[in-house]
Amino acid sequence: MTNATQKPKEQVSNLQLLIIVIASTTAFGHFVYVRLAILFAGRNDWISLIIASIIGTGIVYLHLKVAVKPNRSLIEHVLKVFGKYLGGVFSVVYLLFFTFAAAITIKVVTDFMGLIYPTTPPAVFLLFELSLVAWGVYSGVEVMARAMTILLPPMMLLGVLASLLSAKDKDFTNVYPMLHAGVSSIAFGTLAFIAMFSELVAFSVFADHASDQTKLPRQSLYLGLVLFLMFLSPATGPIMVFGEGLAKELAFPTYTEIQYIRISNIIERLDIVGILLWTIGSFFRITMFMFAAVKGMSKLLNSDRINTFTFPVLLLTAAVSLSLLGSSREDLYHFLGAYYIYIAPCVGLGLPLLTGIVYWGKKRFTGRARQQGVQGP
Amino acid sequence: MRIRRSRPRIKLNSVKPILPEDPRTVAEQSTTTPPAKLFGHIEENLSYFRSVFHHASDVVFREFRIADGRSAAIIYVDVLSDTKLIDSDILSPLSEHEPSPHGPEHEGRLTLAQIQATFAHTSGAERVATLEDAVTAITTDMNILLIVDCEDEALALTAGGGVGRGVEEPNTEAVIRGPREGFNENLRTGIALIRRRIRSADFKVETMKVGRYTKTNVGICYIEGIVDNALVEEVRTRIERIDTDAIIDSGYIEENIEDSPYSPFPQIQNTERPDVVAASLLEGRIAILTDGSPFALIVPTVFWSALQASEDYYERYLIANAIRFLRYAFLLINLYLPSLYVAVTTFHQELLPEKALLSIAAAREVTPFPAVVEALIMEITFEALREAGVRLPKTVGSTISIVGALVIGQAAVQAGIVSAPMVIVVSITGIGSFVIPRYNFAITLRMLRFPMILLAASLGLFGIVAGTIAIILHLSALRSFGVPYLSPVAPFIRKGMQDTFIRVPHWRMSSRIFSKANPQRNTEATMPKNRTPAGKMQS
Repeated sequence: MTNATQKPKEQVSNLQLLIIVIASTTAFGHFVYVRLAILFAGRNDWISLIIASIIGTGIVYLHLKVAVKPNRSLIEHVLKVFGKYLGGVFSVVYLLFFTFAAAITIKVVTDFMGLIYPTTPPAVFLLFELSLVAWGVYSGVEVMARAMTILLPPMMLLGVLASLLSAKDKDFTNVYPMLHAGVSSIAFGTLAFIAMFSELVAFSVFADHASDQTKLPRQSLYLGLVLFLMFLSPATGPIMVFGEGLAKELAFPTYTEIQYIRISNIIERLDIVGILLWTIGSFFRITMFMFAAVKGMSKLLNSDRINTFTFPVLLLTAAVSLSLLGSSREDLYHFLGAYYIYIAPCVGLGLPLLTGIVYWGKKRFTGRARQQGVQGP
Repeated sequence: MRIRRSRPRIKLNSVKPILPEDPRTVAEQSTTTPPAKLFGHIEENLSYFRSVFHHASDVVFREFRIADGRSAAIIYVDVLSDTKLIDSDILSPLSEHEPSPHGPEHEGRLTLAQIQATFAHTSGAERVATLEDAVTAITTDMNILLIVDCEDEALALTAGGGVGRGVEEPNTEAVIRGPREGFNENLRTGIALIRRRIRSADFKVETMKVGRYTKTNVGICYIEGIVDNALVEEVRTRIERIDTDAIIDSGYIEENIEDSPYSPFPQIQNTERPDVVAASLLEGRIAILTDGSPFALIVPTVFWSALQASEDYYERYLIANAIRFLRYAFLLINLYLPSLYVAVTTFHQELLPEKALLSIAAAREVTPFPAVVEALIMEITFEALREAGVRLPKTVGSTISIVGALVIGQAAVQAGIVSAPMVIVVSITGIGSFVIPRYNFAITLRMLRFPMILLAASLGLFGIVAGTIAIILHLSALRSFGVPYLSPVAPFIRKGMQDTFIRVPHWRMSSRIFSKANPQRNTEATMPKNRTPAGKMQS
């Protein structure tokens, strides 16, 4: 491959790359994975979060240490390890996974916006989201990183503010008793969060854009800690405010929590924060997955012109999103809870692990064969 | 001594003129054939120049004899030269000089070199050998051409003069505390004003002529040792690439050299203040001065510099920071307030407290238009009033503002065409736009308000957020001479944060973000801990 070991032209700092990951994980995680964890683990979802954060940090470390090599993206490494055909099949699995993750995000956002704008056709939100995302992906990783660097701090501040403002409504005793529903519920809650960490395999596709890729695996440990801190309050907040029973019934528990925050005589409800977090967060997430799909496709087809594939991937994502628009929210959450929490770790943990093992085995085998060749007659 | 003022005459003789009516042809010829040399005889030269400058009544031909008896002539543009200086410093010395009997050259004849060295008591004297250079010398900054019979070269001289404005206080960047000087239209004055602030041999000015007809002098100013050489080279190259007929103002240069010409955001800073230019040069930036324009251009520039006023650096830093925060707040108000009002009144009424909601609903009850139409009517009217206020004489301008704001606004509310809250929103937004120190940046924000209002009207808060993402994506993609427009925030440069959202005290401002060559500004000695306490000094 001509471009196998070339450093990409666009370089961003490691911090910027981690910002992309944090920005693209947080909002969707708060709205979807926290709900799944509450559904499974109830008031013990914070235990699931702790366990998943530890395992998830390991998963991200694995992505960056085993699934990719310096100056090589995930798809390039897969093709190198498994060869053109099997590597091609695995690459297509990754690309479909990224496209599906982007499409699911659009579906969830559209559902959410449908609650606030019941008369606006869902396709309008799809069109706006995809247009912005296409612009972001086309502009490249540098522009994406800069935009997220600007937008993430206000989002985080708003999140912290929402958490603080809802503190007066929180009843800390709602998280007790611990382990009341057994270990299995916590395990499923953990699996929901692990699915979220597994999705970060998309990060490995553009990790080669980091200015110092060798430091990324170690820095992923901090990433795990930051994500844990950013999810702690959203995971416990709805339970503390509404109690386990009501929180499980809510379509968007974290949103409902901030919706009823009232700053007396200034603002009645904080819907605005929800819309801000959702719109910006979903934009980040869709952009990251679409960029991963676009870049992955360019590597699969051995092309240096990444942008050539923006439009085809955009059309594919739009088509998948449109096909999902017809399904109900219940169907979607059923799919996410029953299937996706297994699919995501298979693709995001199983495949990178397999790649790493095969690479290690091939390297060891080749090394031994070489040694024997030298020592032989 | 015989000094005769000649009238411009049309006399086409055997000399073939280089089509003086069409300077483009001169330029084209100069690129294809070697430039024609001056003639050895004064009559031929004069007839050539008369043919070039026919119908140019401001070009004066004065023929006379120099001390050694040869014929000579000076050609100059009347309004650009000081006639008294020409008489006293050029004509008199040349006519009255007694040639030295020991003179080695030409048996007592004055040479051009002698004239240049001894007799031209003017501020500048250059030798020109070609007809094209001679014509350029007359029409541009040298202004005077001296030709002497039997010489195949001429002298281009300068003798001040011309019309121009004095150094006045800048209108667009007034300060309460700080220098009152502003650039005028004269490039030399501009350079002098900067030189007075940077008295270092490292302050450099490179001048070049741009514009086929206007031949406008453009000066590139920088501080050697601080500025990055690659940046100087880039600026030089971009200006040299400009191939146009005219540069009337620095705005022409700006549009011809900026990175993204289709962007609404200015990627080059402009200023009327020499102190701002001096400070920018010390940050490692480059200033471009244009003859005929009181606005200097500064490159590279970043988004955040649009919210920095020169006074921020002259006031105490705590006060300056408080005002800077105010500017950031009003930047957001300026961009978002009308669209938020439209979004909340159209889609998200539940966000408002009950009393505010009732009050707004009561005010809007009588208005026939939806909030978006109301907002557009008011915003367009406000922009028209602002524009009228700028264009009209100051006394009339203020009257228009009062009539517009008070009378029309009040009448519109009473007639039920617009609601009172909308008038308040538009007024606050209008005031907000004037808080932003850079005029061109404020205009950009004002223009962006309109698509934001339309997005808010069609998609509510989602539309505003989508618009914001679009603006930030666009800003993230912008560069100013290679520097990311949103730096030092995105990409994050820690040292650059000392003068972005806040300005740290001068003794803390230790680095220049635009200079890789010499990033250090202050040394440790400047820190307050090294200052002797007052009590100790007394003891």
